[in-house]
Amino acid sequence: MAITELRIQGLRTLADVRLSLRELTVLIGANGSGKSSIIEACELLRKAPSPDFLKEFRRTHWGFAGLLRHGADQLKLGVRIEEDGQVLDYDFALAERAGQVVIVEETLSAGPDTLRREPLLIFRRNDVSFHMRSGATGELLSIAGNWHYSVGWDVLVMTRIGAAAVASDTPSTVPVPLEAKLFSDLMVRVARALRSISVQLPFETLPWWASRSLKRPSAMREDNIVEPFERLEPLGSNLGSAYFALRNDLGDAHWRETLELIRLGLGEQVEDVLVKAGGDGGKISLRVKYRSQLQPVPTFALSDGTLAYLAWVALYRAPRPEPPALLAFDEPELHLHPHLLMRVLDFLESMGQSSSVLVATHSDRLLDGLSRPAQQAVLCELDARGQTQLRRPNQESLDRWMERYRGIGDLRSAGHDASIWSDDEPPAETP
Amino acid sequence: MSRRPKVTILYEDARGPRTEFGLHRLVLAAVRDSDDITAPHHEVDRALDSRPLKGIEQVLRTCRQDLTYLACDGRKVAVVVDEDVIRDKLKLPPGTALQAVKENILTRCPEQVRPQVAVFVLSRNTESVLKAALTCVQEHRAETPSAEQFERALRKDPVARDQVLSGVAKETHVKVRRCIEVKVPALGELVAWLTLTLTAHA
Repeated sequence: MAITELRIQGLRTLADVRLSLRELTVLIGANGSGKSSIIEACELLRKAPSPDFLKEFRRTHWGFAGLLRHGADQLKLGVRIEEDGQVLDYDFALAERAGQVVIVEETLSAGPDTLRREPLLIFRRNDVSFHMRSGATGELLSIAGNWHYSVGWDVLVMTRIGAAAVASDTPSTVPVPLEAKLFSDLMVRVARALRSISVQLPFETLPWWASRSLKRPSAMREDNIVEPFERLEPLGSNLGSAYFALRNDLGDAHWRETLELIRLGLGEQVEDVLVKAGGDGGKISLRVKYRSQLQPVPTFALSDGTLAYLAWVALYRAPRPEPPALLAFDEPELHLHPHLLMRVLDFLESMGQSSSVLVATHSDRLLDGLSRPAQQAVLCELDARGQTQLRRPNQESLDRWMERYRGIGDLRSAGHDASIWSDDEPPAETP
Repeated sequence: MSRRPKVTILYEDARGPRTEFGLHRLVLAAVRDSDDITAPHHEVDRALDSRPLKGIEQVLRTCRQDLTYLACDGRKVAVVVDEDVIRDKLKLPPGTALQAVKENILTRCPEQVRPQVAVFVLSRNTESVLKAALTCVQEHRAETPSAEQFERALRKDPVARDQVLSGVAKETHVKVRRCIEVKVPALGELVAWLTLTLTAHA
């Protein structure tokens, strides 16, 4: 299952953007051109199936005040999900009603395969109606009359007018109309894809001395409280727990391979990565043992780049029940030497073989390392109206320039990158 | 041996400069295997400077523009390129003999450093090294790298590719390396040339 397209309307500079996602998509562009807003949209999509979504929308993302584009009255987010050749397009719109932000409309269309662009069925629901139409003809197939639908992410709650509510996952004598059941089943798949999205910010490697001086903890340098490891936290704050799981839960062969990857980045001098549980108040501490040093080095004394790379390895090697539908990373280059960044690029391209991977970066070096820059790079730039436009490189132009330059980053440093961008990403469509 | 490298190896690569470049680790290990090399490992490592360059274009550009600086201290330069697209990139007819390909690359280097340069053309590309490594690991019943790592490496997984090449560079894999050198003649030639160069300098 992979998210292969993002659709965003009304979010800051993202007035109307549709971004096709391939194995690895790398967003570049000037500051303020919309890259980080696209990453934030991924986080909003990740949270969308949560019962607390609207609360989070207000509390964490500052609601419409922080997100809505000037002049827009709705914020729309949508994804294309592809699984086993089937295509699902899901979109929802947020608007303000009586001072509250609410979801005013959702659309879900289901198509048979990636080759056939027209969906088979389109479901549309808002606060007053629920429709199912033929994707090909637009013909109204049925109207769910006499029912009030409250379709949650994992359950369809239906109320016949004047009767008690019935949930689709509980035995009931009330028959669930076929079209509503189908909608509910598809929504479960959409929710699974959205919940699996992973958004990773630059790892927080604040030096120990600065942490003490500023009186705030350094997320990755503190010992971790012992807790089951499910995923690496966005700032890498549970790195110790991650390595505890990598060392102890996945077998010797898996751990040996993890150590190999660490050495590919940090060199053969790394003898081992040690985790010790049960120290100060039942916490886990992480230490790196170098061959040349007698004592293992604790996290507070490791370099920023070493710590960040350990986090990248943990992210790459962490067990997951299934590959995420989308992995999004903001500025993965932070703290890394250019040569070590190439190792991380290896991870990103490798992860792209099973998930869609989206990266926002300012790194020329990362751009130079891309194995298929014409397919992978996307330029975000603002037009005269302050709206983000997306452009991809023209393969032919790029090939010509690559005879003299080692990549788009090299070309950008020399000031010639304007010569390669040509193809606009198509504008968003409402399915 | 002094701290200054005796040889710089320019590798054609898909990515460019990075830590612990797998093909170079294999080459280093193969050179250290030689009975003629008596210097400690770290001195051999220091004597052989690795420069993976992104794509054949960068290798040719370096040959054309940078070798005067790079080789002004008298060091030798090995140029390691892939055969798959080289004739096309050099604008040579498809059937051009390998020796003519090597000579064409040499003519792109500044004349004064040409005697210091040797060109090695890997049949097809790094994939042929990976395939040879797989056969040799199986022939010698080595437990690592794992079949799963080989499978991913041959599917062009960039992480697995360096894992496999680093895996066959382990001290325990001498026979596997000798086998690879036989199956990939250009690699064997490179290792022999490097060994000869180092022993001549010793």
